[in-house]
Amino acid sequence: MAEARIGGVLAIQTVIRAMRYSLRYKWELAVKGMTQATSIFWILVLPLTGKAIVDFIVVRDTAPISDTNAPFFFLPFIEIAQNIGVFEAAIFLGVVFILMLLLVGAYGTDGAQRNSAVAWLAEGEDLATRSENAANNMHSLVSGLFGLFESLWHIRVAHRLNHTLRSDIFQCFKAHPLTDFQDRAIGDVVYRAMYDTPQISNIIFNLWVGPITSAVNLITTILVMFVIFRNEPVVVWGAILVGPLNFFLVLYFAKLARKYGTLAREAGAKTTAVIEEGMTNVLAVQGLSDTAYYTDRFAKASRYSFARYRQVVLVSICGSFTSFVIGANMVYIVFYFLAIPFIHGDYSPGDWFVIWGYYGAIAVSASWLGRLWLTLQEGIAGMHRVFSILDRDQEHVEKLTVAEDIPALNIEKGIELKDVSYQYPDGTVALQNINVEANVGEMIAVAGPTGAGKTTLVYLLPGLLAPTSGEFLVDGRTLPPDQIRGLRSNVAFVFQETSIFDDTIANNISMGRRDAAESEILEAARVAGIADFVESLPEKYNTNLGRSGAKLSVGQKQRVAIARALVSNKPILILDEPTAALDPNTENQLVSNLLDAREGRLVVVVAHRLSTIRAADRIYFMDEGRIIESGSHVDLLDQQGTYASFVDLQTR
Amino acid sequence: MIQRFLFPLQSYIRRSIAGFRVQSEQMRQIEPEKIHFSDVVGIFIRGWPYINPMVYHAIAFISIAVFQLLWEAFWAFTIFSLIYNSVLLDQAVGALPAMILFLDPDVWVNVESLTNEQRFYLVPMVVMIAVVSGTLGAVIDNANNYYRVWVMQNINQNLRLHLMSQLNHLSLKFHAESKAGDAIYRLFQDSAMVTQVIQALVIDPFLIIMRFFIGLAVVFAFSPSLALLVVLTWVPMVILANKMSVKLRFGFKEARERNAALTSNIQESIDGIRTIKVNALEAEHQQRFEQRSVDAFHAAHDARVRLLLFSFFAFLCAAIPLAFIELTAAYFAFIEAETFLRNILIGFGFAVWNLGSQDQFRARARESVNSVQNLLTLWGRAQDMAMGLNRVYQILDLTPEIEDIPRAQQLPDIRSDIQFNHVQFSYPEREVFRDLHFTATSGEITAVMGPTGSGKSTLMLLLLRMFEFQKGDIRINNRSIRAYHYQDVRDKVTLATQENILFSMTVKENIRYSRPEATDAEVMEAARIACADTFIERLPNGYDTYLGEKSTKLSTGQRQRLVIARAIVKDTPILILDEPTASLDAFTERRIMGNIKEWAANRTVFVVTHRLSTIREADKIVFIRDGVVADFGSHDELIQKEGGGYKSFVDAELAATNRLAAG
Repeated sequence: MAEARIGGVLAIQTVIRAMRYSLRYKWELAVKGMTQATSIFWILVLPLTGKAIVDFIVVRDTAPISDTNAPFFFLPFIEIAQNIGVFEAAIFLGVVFILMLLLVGAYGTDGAQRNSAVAWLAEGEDLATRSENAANNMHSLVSGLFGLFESLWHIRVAHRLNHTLRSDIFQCFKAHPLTDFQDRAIGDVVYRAMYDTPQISNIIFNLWVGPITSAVNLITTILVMFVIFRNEPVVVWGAILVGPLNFFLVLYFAKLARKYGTLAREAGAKTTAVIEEGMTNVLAVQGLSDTAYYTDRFAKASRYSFARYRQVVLVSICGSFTSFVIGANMVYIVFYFLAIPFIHGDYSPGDWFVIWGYYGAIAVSASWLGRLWLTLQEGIAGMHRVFSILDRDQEHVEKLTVAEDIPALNIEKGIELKDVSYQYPDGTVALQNINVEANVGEMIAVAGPTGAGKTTLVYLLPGLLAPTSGEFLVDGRTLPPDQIRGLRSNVAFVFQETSIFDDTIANNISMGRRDAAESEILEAARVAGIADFVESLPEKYNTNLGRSGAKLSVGQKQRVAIARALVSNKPILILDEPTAALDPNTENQLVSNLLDAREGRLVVVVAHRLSTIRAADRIYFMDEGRIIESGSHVDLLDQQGTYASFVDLQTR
Repeated sequence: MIQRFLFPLQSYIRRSIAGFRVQSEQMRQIEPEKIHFSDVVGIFIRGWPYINPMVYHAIAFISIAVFQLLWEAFWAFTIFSLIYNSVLLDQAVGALPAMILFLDPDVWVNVESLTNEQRFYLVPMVVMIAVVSGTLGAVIDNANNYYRVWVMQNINQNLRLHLMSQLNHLSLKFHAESKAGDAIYRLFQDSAMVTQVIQALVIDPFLIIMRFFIGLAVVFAFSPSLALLVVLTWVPMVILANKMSVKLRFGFKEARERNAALTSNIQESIDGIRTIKVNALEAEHQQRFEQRSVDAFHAAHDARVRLLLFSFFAFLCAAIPLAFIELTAAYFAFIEAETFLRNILIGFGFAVWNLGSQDQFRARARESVNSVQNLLTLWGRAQDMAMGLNRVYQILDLTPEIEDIPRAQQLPDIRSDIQFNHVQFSYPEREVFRDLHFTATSGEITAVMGPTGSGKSTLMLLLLRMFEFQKGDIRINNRSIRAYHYQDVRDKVTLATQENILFSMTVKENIRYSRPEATDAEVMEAARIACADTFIERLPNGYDTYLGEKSTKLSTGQRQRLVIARAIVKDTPILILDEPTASLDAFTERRIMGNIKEWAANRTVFVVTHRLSTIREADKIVFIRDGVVADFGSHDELIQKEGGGYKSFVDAELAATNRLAAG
């Protein structure tokens, strides 16, 4: 199930999509951008306090205020400092330091003594573990009250964004038609929801916040450079050129980063799937005594995903190496041109450091902007895996809404399939020219050899699958897509392989109808033949069933599922081989209950056992995806066809 | 050599692990408040066995990193001395740079100053060596980085594999309580922390402490009283660490647990997607998911904010004394006080406090105090790593319930019947078998039947040693099955499960899952016996058709036949079929049972079933009810027995059929 490779256009679309997605938090992001821009201001101002130490204490500079090149808001402080003694000045500066520490967590001559409010946690060498720091992105260039506020704001925005996306993709998965899950490992779903979604914070914060900082930095520094060193344009142009050079030279790696990022994520999803399967089906793994083989399978998957991650590392190493070569060479080129005026003595040696300081500031920002596209690629690979799910053509366009919004749909007559065919997405034809009429007040049986398409047929009735051709009529009319869920709310379905949830027995039964009274739950359990067993448990109906109901036997699970269907009290009841794991006594009891229940209801049963089938009002006998005979038990026996020989085989 | 040197460490680890071992499958609780400094260190040291196989590689990449640092420092020194001293100023070239550039010492080194021509000549030279050395350095650095990733991944893989094999050896009882999502989280996120052990336990503390003492020595040379102040910064730091460690650990533990719970929630919801959809419970499940997601984010938020505050406080503990130190130094410089060890410092021109000495002093003092702060931040992060690793050890510390007894025997071949001798077995919440007694004869098919919940499947799991019975015995070759290696017993028994479990692989791989070396011919033969060959051949890619985990491509009956084929291909002396025919039509059922009967000539086959038609094919029938064997014998014998459990079962089935005949 490899994803299509992501081309350049798609990559840009993905980024735009992520940006648009983030717009729902535009105000929050704007605040983050503003605080970040403000923190640059702090960093630029901070060195001035350090300069004050040197000027007023160590050197005792007494130059008039107008000569100092401090900004205007700093002048009053300087004036105070100049008019007091050294000792007082030291105390005064000490107070200023402590205030600055509390405000922005930094002080000192060059601002180097600075704390930045980040809470990065250790991670491993694969993409899954690296998603954690992305999801919990928090960052500020400074700390103190200001930095802490910015950082806390940042993580809140990151969490909201990630939570919304995670919820969206989870909802989307549930809205997918069932056929979509047939080849999709659960591990893949887990990987996408847990480890792919956090990439949105990588993209968003890189795009929303980074460029603002770099652009501000770039523009101010370039302006200053042009004012002071207008005779050496090579410095400015060289530094700026680093940007486009980076962009074009790492462009090739961007493509590779997308490709290997996607592959690494697929490999990670595969590893997740192997773990998930093994843990869910531990009985099969241990029962076939192939723990060694399974562990080996996991080892291979894990090693492979590690190797795929190393490819991602390799691409990023190539990118940063290229970037290093560009940066270093540009330094030497500028150096080559700059050395000449210095040797000629046009500048003082002190200017040397100033020039390189500004060069560095421009080149770092330009290089960051130039590499931005490469930086985004890892995020794009993850984001595409998320958006491709969100965009999936949702067969039924199941608008997932809160429970109350499901449009009410009363079924008066029944369901009819007219000349319906069903084909799986891979082309396998499951059903051909099916005509079924199922009316309220009837009990319908579907019978036939294994693989005849019985289960697929009953999946069509509540709209779990949509026919690929033919008409699906409810009360004689075609249902608009948004009413499928309305139809489904009328249906109780007992699957052949039952799902039990990690919850109490009572809650597992009342899944069918959350407001069911306790007496109704007890009654349903009794009818399904599970009551005695439940009563024998120490906690009775409050017993927690644990993961996929591992405490119950298969027959008991099936009874819980039947009780679930009975308690739901829905007008349509569909049972797919409900009796396979039941003993005959329980089955006979159940069938007679079903016959009673059909009053005002439609009951559909898929069964192999004759005792169940023959009780039905109408029997559809299937083979190879077609209905070959239909009618009541007596009618069909009279026909002396396939059904009759089937009956013959069982009664012989 | 290194291994011998590390032997005491390994035996220490072995002893300390023995202390943690839990004598059951009940996971011990992680109690952050009871973990002390030594425990955190102990948790990291326990990572050693996974690092050990890679130790030479670890040493290699650390050595390369050190070499690269030295390389960079050497060239930086050379290049900067050329640029600053010779190109910018006109001083003579140093002896070493001159040698590297093949410059004549008489012209370049032993001169008063350089001419402008010489300075121009130097410029391209400097560029050249800078490009060459810089590029080489970058190549080494990047290659070593890749190497480090590889080493760390291997260490991580070692721990993952140990964890996975432990998970596979824990009994079904453990797995009934634990969740797949939790296992995913432990295998990915928690185990990854082992990659940090070398860095957090060895490299970082070493570098940090070294930097602290170097800085302290310089500060001491200038002023012993300020050096004392630097040392005293440890006091608030240690108090802070002591105060906040427990809170940090609680936070990180909570964050890890909540995220694991969220992972489980996703897994479970998708696993039960059909039931959710058909009961229109999507909204409810969405709400539950979102609640878990919010919980996970809240926990992560709290943990990280705690770390953030912790490192901010640590910064304040460092910065406030530092500000004081810096101001004092500035004051000293103003009054031009004499430095403490002026006789030594005079060599650097620092006999008295001045602008230059104040600058040097400040830099060293900062480095010293900051290294304490860095150590503290590392400690804060280490709490998270410790919690992660602890979650892995939680599993590794369990003693699998099913373990070989000392001196367990091999089970080469099964030559006897299988005797169930007065077996008694209870689940924690209820008794299943009171006194179960019968013998399954080799070469026969034994049908196991009884009401739902009577323990038919459980009985088969006892034979596989998935659970341990409490009393009585199960005997093979006249020995208790407990006397053999349990893996040996499982190798001789195949279970075709009632829930038709297929893996996301091709049909062929699914069939040969239990015996990967099975040939294609054997796979096809097994498919034929299970009557699966016809439908497989009709699939789009035949035996190579890919099946998903929840494959709906196949009907339940088809999946059931694949599971039977898989059991057959394993070719063991004992075969257990748990409800093999539940989803099969009568015709297919008869064919399969016929084939199996033929195939089972020298084997012992158990069939757990409700179906009369399947039971009739069996040689012996065991009817289990209320924890005992209520009936045992062949169909013909039992049907004669008035009032027997089996007879009443058959009567119920026949009653339905008779009513049918009458209708």
